[in-house]
Amino acid sequence: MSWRKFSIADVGIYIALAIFCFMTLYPFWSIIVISFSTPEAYYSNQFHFIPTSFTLEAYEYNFAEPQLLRSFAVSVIVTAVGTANSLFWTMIVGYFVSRRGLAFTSLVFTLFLITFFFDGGLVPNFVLIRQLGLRNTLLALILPFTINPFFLILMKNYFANRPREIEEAATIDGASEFVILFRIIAPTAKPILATIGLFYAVYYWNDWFWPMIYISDRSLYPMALYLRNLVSHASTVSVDPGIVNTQNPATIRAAAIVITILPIILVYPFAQRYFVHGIMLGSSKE
Amino acid sequence: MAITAQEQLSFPGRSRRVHKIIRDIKMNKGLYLMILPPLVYLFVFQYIPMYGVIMAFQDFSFRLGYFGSDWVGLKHFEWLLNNPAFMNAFFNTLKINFLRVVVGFPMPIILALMINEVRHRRYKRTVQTLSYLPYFISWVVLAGIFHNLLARDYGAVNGVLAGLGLSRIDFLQDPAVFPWTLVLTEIWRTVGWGSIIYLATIATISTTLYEAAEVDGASRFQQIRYITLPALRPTMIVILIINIGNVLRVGFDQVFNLYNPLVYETGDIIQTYIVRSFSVNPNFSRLTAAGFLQSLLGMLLLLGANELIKRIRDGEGLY
Repeated sequence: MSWRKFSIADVGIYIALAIFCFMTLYPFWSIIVISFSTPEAYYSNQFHFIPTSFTLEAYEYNFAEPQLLRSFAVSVIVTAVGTANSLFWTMIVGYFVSRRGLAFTSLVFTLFLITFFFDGGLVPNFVLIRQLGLRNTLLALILPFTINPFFLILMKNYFANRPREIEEAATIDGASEFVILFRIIAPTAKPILATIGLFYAVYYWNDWFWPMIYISDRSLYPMALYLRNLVSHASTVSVDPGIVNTQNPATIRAAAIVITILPIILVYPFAQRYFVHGIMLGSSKE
Repeated sequence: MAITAQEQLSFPGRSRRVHKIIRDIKMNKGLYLMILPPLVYLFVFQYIPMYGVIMAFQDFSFRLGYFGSDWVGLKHFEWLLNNPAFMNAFFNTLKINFLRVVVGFPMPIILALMINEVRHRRYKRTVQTLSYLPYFISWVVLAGIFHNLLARDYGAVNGVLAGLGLSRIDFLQDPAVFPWTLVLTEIWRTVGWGSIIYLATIATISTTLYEAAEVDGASRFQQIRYITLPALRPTMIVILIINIGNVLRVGFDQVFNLYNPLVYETGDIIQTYIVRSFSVNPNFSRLTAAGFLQSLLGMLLLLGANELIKRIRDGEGLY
């Protein structure tokens, strides 16, 4: 494209986008500022843009609650195991349905696609988990979400678009399908695996709804559900009433929010370069 | 798939076909073994609950199960359609989602067009990277943040309004405002993410088109109007249909974390109605019927949207 003059329209667009960035970041920034504020500073200011005080009290308060650490650990476990499990099986099914010339590939793909449009809904899923005896187990937060049909489509498109010569050669050399998939194909599919893995991880980390339905044992609450209870019942935070009186629930909630999103914020800058690329790779059809 | 000469010769021969399938399975034993566990998963965790939807037509009890419970026909549907709270949620669902699609649809396109005009690569990439971030944050967290930002007396947004001499708005507790709060916060969360697909489409447009337009003296606005927008049209149509088809299943996380009894009148949607009833007074069959009505409505909207687009585009729908 030829070089154009930097016109008034450009200035307008640059400023509009700067305002847009500010509006995107400001809510996160303000919650971080609140989390480090003293209760007095919180009440004396309503913008929370420039920090006027600094204290770690809200964090100390949160970390003094043993359930926070337990919930954080539950989330780490569910996210790690869930993502690994989902990625493993999504890759297997994606590879299977991307193969041509097999008798059942389109049938299997259709069966998975149907789950994209229909699902049983809240009650039948609850009934199933109850009858399987999975209530109040972490398996209930992992197993039902093993394969997401949307990510399966991305995976299938990626595999269908790649050249087949290598695996054909490997087949002739007598390598088993399992070896081909995990030794030969998986290492070359890193961008799509990183993308889909990231999406699964975000899903498992953020899920609070199914834990709310399936888990009634508070010690098994994942972080998102723990936070939800803290945010929606701000005035009834259990513990020593003396602390509640001197502490400000708003700063405590803010600190809990920061603790919950910290893993995502930390991973995000490294992960974001993968997912845009990966989404594009997977969304083009053969 | 093309029919090979051999297949044509052996047509029809049913036993031949069975024979072929058996040979196929024998030859690809490893593959079929690998696919077995996912199929079990699919059956247990997806298709059994789907079958469970039949409880909408039963008086389901755990003791009797799906096969022993009494059939009651459309009893639960009649109850729901005569229940003011459910019907309120039903119409709110339509209203809120209509607003969401109409107001929200153009926003990612506008953002993508603006980002595309930026020539400094670093600035462009920074804007893009930041714009995707809110999409990855759950509504539990965002609700906690927005409760601070949008509060009537202490919130920053009302601070700005008051500073400008405008009257304060009770975003989260005024029933007349609450649907707009939902629409605007949802746009805030998804506009950047939604722009990815448009930016990718723009990147595929040949630069020679723009160069030719420039030689002919087209202004930048005219280039957008006559080159970029027409090139985005197919993407827009696909996204619009997907948005309409999705309207009934998105939104739950947002509403459930932001609403409160003061705004049930305009903010309660079918899913929040179901989940709230589930924790208060669960009548399993009735709630399944409510979910079933919602799926049915979603399906109708999807088909309707596709039909409409087909008419507009002379028979060229999404599927």
